[in-house]
Amino acid sequence: MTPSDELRALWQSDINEAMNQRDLLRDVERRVRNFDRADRRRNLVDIGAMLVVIVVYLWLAVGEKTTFERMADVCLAACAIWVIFYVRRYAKLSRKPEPEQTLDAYRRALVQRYDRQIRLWKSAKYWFILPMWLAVLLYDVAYRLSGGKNIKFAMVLILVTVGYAFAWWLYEGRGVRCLERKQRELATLIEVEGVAK
Amino acid sequence: MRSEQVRFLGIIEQYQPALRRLVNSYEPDPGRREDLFQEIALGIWQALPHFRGESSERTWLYRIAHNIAISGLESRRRRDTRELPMPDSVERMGRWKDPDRALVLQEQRQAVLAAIQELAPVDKQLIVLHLEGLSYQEIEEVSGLSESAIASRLSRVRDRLTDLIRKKEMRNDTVR
Repeated sequence: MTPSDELRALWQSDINEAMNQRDLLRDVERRVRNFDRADRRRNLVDIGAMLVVIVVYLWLAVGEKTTFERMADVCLAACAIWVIFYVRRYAKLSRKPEPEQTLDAYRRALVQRYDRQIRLWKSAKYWFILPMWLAVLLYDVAYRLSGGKNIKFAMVLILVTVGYAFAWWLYEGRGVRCLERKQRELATLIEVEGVAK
Repeated sequence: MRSEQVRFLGIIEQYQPALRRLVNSYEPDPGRREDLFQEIALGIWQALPHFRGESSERTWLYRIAHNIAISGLESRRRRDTRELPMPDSVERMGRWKDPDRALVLQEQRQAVLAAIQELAPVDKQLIVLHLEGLSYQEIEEVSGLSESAIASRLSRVRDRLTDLIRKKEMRNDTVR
């Protein structure tokens, strides 16, 4: 017997207690149900958020004095819906890779998932910050054009601008750096080459 | 029972011991092994309708099992590793006629398992596939690595593990 055969015999002599087949099937079906339920819940939350945004902004639009202000409300609602839609679409695209591929391809796919997330966060200024900020700006312009002079509105615009600038920094600065670090760690851990240090 | 369920249970029944050993090699904490095993079983259940027999059932199954096990590696690594895993049950040794031999075997198995758990993920995948009796060609089919890369890595890991068992045996002999 070669050392390799001995090792194999030793390894295969470990016979673990087997789980009852029916219990296992029940557990797997329970997990499938939980997974489906979580998926449905997530869908409901997203759709609920969209509905709330539509109702709130339409309600605000009805109460506005000018058409321009109403348009600004509708723009804000459209931007918020766009953001939710974009994040949902992204979440669908960046699910875990299919486990049926080869181990080498799967390891690469695990590391590449971070690339998609990094791209999403780097482009946050286009799909999240800029549209929302422009919609708020449009709202402010509409308010001024309709004769509004309240200084509070200008303050709100400044605060919103600062808030969006902070969000921009969070996504593109801190967030992306953190994701890149995690990606490098994973790549080192599972021996995937080609990730920039 | 639906035919899909029968097929799934057949696969699990046939490969359960091998899958359990695979789980043990990834998960040092016996308390969490059942969870990983069930995750793998779920992965097989979900992939089963897409299995068209383009590869053998065995290589298909090992791909799924290793891939699911490795995808939880990061979270397992983040977990508090200072916690010492509970030793495996020794009740199983009661089956053996010679308890001393059973104890030695159990110790050797534990030593090999601990050494495999310490290996880098790629080495671990290759050695587990090898120990389960897959040919180089099958390992290539599962891992996607070339046969030469598999051979050189396996030779290194095998030597290390064999050396470890020898040392363990020598230590036991000295104690006696």
